[in-house]
Formats: sequence, structure tokens, C-alpha cells
Amino acid sequence: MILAAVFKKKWDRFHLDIAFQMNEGLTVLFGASGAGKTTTLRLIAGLLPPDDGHLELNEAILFNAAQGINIAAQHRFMGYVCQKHALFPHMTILKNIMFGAKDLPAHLRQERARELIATLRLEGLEQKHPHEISGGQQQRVAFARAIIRKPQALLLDEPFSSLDTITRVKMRACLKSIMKDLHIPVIMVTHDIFEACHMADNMLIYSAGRIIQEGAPAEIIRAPATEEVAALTSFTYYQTVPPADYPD
Amino acid sequence: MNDEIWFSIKLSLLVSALSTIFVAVIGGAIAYLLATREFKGKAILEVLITLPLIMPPTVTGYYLIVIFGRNGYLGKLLFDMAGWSIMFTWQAAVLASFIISLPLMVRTAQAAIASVDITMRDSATMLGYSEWQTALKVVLPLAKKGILAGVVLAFARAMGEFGATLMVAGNIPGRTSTMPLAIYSYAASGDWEKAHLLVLILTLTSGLFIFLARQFEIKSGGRS
Repeated sequence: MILAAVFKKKWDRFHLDIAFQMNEGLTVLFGASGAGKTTTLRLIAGLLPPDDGHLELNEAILFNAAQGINIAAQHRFMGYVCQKHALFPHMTILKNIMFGAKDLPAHLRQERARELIATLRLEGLEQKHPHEISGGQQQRVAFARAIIRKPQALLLDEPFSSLDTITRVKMRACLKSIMKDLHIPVIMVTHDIFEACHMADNMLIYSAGRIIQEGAPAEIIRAPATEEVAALTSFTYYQTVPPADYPD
Repeated sequence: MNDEIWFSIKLSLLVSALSTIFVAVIGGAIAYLLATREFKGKAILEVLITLPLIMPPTVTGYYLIVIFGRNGYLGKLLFDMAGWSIMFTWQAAVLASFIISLPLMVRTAQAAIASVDITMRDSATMLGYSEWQTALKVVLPLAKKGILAGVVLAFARAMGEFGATLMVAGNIPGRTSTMPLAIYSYAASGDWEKAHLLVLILTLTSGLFIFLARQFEIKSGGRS
């Protein structure tokens, strides 16, 4: 086990209560909107404080409510890429990527950034600003910035949802090639069952703040635990079942 | 132009510049806090800071006397410690201008800082930057045009400050007589030529600063 998370988080009308463990590879958090997937990612990142639970990464305790341990997000060494890419518009592409390596000396920062620019096929864009490049290129810059400091885990919040279908397919391949070199746990939130099946080693199905099934995508699709899981993971369900018959 | 007019112009510029420096630093910090944090008493702080914007400046001046007057809560302490009172000094004019122009800076800068997408701050945090580093390297550069608009508006407001300044600094020629106070004195004594000149200068400078603030607001996306 590389990453183990147990979280409880309560808001007025929403109660998240989840527990899972994972090794390196890609785990997809899958489920309907508002089920708690992004909240889970933010709890792991340290951007939200859990009410209770614990989080371990590579045997280091990052959060433990009982022991009063809560390592700040800045010191968790996790890469984080969100749907909006969140590139800094006032910096060039090169500076955006270098920004991710604050602990490296200046010359190494530039060297490492240029390596990633070559790996992710971003040559020629170094001096451009984010608004001057395409969505797919922005996404690759966001990946480069997130991995330049060699994070211990990578958190991806619907990273491809704003991209067109062709770019999306290319970016999936790009992410797979990045993962080959990183050997770290990658957690990705997606609403796209095709994407989940294509990318995931393991899939966690969320419903109303709970994980209702866990396993390899093929296993889940072959043997869904409930009608809800069957509906969520079916490629054809919503084309064939009338809305009145959808599970609650 | 005689010495009195020159003095009031120079004093107005000095008072407005100093007040604006304080407003930029303290108002900027308050704006950042209000735009990025939720805390107990936030609504009360916002109301307190905004009050001078809508209250008559004489009322604000009255509160300043209650606090900083020779027998005021802080004024007495200051006098006991340093043997000095801020009342009826040019520094009191700076204080009055600071309090009156603070809400303009805070409201404008707060809106500009709040408009920076939270994912920008989250990304910087996840890349290892402290909140202070994130503010300096990401949030403030992205909100700088809105913040500059606030600074310019605060300067323009300080240049035109009258009521609260009169209450705490008085209208002492050659000591605390800023341009608006000098205009009042000249108009009251029928010296229209000097009053006209100062009115013209103040109108032009205020217009120029409001135009500059508008340009910054447009560039920062604050207006369409």
C-alpha cells in the first residue's frame, strides 16, 4: 500500500465518509456530480481539512485527526491538476513550468523545465503566454508544472473535461506516458466512463459521499454491486432506459 | 501664486501621498484578508471599514476626536507617553484622509483580489508556496490593476477631504490648511480669485485621478 485515506467530512446536507487504499497506478474516482469525488481530492491535497480520519502516503502520516497531525498542503509534495488548468496568465509557459520547481536552484529549474518541454512536445511555446496556446497545450503545461518537482502523488480533477474529443484522446495517451516514468499513485476524477475504463487500474464508485464499489473497471462493469453502479457504469444505460426508470 | 496657496497645494499633496501610502499598505492587507478568508466578525469589520464612506465626514471626524483627542482613548495614552497630541497638526489631516479614503481602497482592492480564481491560489499552494508567497507572486500581480484603481481613488479622495480634516486638524493657515480648507476660507472671506484657482486645480487633479482609476478598472475587467 502506498496511499491510504480515511476521511469524514460533514457539511449541512452532505456527509462524506470514505476509506480506500491504493498502490502506484491510476485510481479513478467515478460517480455522479456532488457525490464527493472532488472533495476527496481536496482532502488528500490538504486544501480542505477533514473532520476526522487519517491519510498516509509512502508510510508518512500526512493527516491524523486522533494524533493532531495535519501536514500543510505546501509540504505534502503532491501534484494537482484541475479542469481549468489554472496556468498563471501573467507568466510565460517556461515560467509557469519553472514556478513548479521552487526548491531547485535557478539553473536546474530551467534545465528540468526544458526537459519537460521536450518530453511533452511544447517546444517553441516557451515565451508564449497561456492565452496564446491551445487547450491541449495548456493541459500539457499544467502537467509539466505539476510534475516538475517530482511529486509523491498526482491528483487530477477532471483534467480533460474542457478538451475536445480528439485532444482528450491524445491527452490520455500523454498522461499514460507520463505515468510510466513517475511510478507514483495517480488519482483522477472523471465523469466519463470511457475515459475511466481506458485509464484506470482501479476505480472507486461514489454515491452520496460513500464509496459503493471498488475494483478494476472491467470487474465493476461485469458485476456491478447495485443497480445504481450498473446505471453509472453502463455505456448504453442512458441511451436505452427512459429517465423515469433511472435509480434514485 | 502667493505663499499661502503654494502651502495649501504642497500640504494637500503631502497629506494625500502619506495617507495613500498607509491606505495602500494597510488597506491592501485588509482587502486581501476580506477577499480570501472567512472568519468570525468579518461582516462587522466590513461594516466598520465602509462606514466612513457613507457617514458625513464630520461624524467620522467626531469619532476621531473621541479616539485621538487629548482626552480620547488613544490620544490620552499618546499624550501621557510622548507629551504630544495629534490634534490640530498636519498629521491629523493625514489620519483623517486615511480613515476617509480607506473604504475606497478596501472595496476596490477586495473585489479585484476576490476575482482571482481560487484555482490559481490552490495551484500555487500545491506547488509548495506559502500563503504569503502566493499573495506576492500570483494574487497581487493578477489583481494589480484593480488594486491600483483603489490606490488612485484613495489618493483623489484624500486630496478632496474636508469635513473630518476640519474636525481633527482645524483650519490653521500655514499649518493645517489643505486645499479644500483653503478654498473654504477664501470663499468665506470673499477672496474669490484665490478660491477659483484652487477649485480649478482640485477639479482637474480629481478628474485626472478618477480617469486613471477608470482606466485601471477597465483593464482589470472591473467594468465592461
